[in-house]
Amino acid sequence: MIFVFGVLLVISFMREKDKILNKKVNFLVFLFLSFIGIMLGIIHQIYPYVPSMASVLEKYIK
Amino acid sequence: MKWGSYMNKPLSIRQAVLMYLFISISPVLRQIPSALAKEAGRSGYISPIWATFPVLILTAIIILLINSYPGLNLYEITVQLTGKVFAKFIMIFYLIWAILYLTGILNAYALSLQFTLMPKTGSDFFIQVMIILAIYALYKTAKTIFRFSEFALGPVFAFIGILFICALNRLRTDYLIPVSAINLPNTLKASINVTAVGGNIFLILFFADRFGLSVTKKHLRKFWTGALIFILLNLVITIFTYGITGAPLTAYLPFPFYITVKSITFFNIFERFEVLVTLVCILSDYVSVCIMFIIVLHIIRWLFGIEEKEFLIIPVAMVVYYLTFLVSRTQFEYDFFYKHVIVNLNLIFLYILPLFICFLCLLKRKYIRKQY
Repeated sequence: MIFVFGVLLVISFMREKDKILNKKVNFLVFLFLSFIGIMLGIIHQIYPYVPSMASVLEKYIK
Repeated sequence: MKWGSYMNKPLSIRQAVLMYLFISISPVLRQIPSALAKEAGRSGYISPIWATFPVLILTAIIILLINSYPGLNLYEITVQLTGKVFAKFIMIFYLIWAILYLTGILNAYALSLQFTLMPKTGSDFFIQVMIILAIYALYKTAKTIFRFSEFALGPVFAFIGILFICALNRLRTDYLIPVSAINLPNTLKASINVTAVGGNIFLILFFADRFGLSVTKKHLRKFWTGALIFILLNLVITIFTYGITGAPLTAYLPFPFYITVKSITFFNIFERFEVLVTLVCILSDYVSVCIMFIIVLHIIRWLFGIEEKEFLIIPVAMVVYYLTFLVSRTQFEYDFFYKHVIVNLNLIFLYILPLFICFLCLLKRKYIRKQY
């Protein structure tokens, strides 16, 4: 679903380019919300693998 | 622009009140009966009566604010009362609350569908469908959402009325009476669950600039009617649910009204009304999701002074979608989140903050009068 949202973000940016780039605040808010959305998406994707990543890191550190 | 055309179209108070009743339907059918049964036992159906007082006080606050500041929305009223900086500060808190409430609605909707119709389907599928439909609605005229509530509420109430008539012979009075005096203080404590949902009437203030300047007493009377209909709906549904299913079972069901309706038939000819109940809840959740999305977009617009909001729909939808999974995934987590977070936040943002705003409004009114 993160890829679908990524594509939708790009489409939304291309369609509303005039409005987004018209004012600095529009672009910053769009960028900020997109960044938070993508970060949350990455956390959601990684979340099921956190225990195995933790055990690999633990073995590596030991 | 489609969004721009929405901003120019006026909204009627009747549409706003009907929207409030429509979005209240799914919590009234789902969360309230089980919450009241858990906290107050078989006497829980008295709790909506106690909830009448705070809901009517909130309605009076809304009418006072609309009368004092006609044609202004909540942000503009707060700017008038507290100044721009403090108003933005309050709006940031409302933004956080609105996003959390929206994730709660999405979770409740997905869990209801899993409980009732499709237990083997993952909740992500339901939430994806809802988000896509909400995005579609947001790109169209938002007034359609209010018109849909106006149109659909009558048939929903007629359906609930028919169910009640068919269920009368199945109501067991031994499940309802006698009311234990020991449980009466618990009914008062449990009434916060009804109060938390009744506070949704405050959401109308986010759209108050659409009502225009000519708001008469006849229009404002609709708020009182809406609040009383909400309380009556709560009373009827809770009595209905307890009288058929019983309070002990109701307390442990995530969607007690669905189980209650399973046993109802229309003169032994028509049955399986529970599917229609699920449909009513889905429609109510859909309108709630759209309205909360619009409120989130409004708040972002007010905070940053943005005129157009269409380009924000996809980023906000993405944030809300992933937050929904982070907030809660299972029925247990959702029940905990609803009981300990949503109910308490609703009381703060839909009662305590409006009370504070009303107090400032009364002070400023007196101050203005003294000038003259």
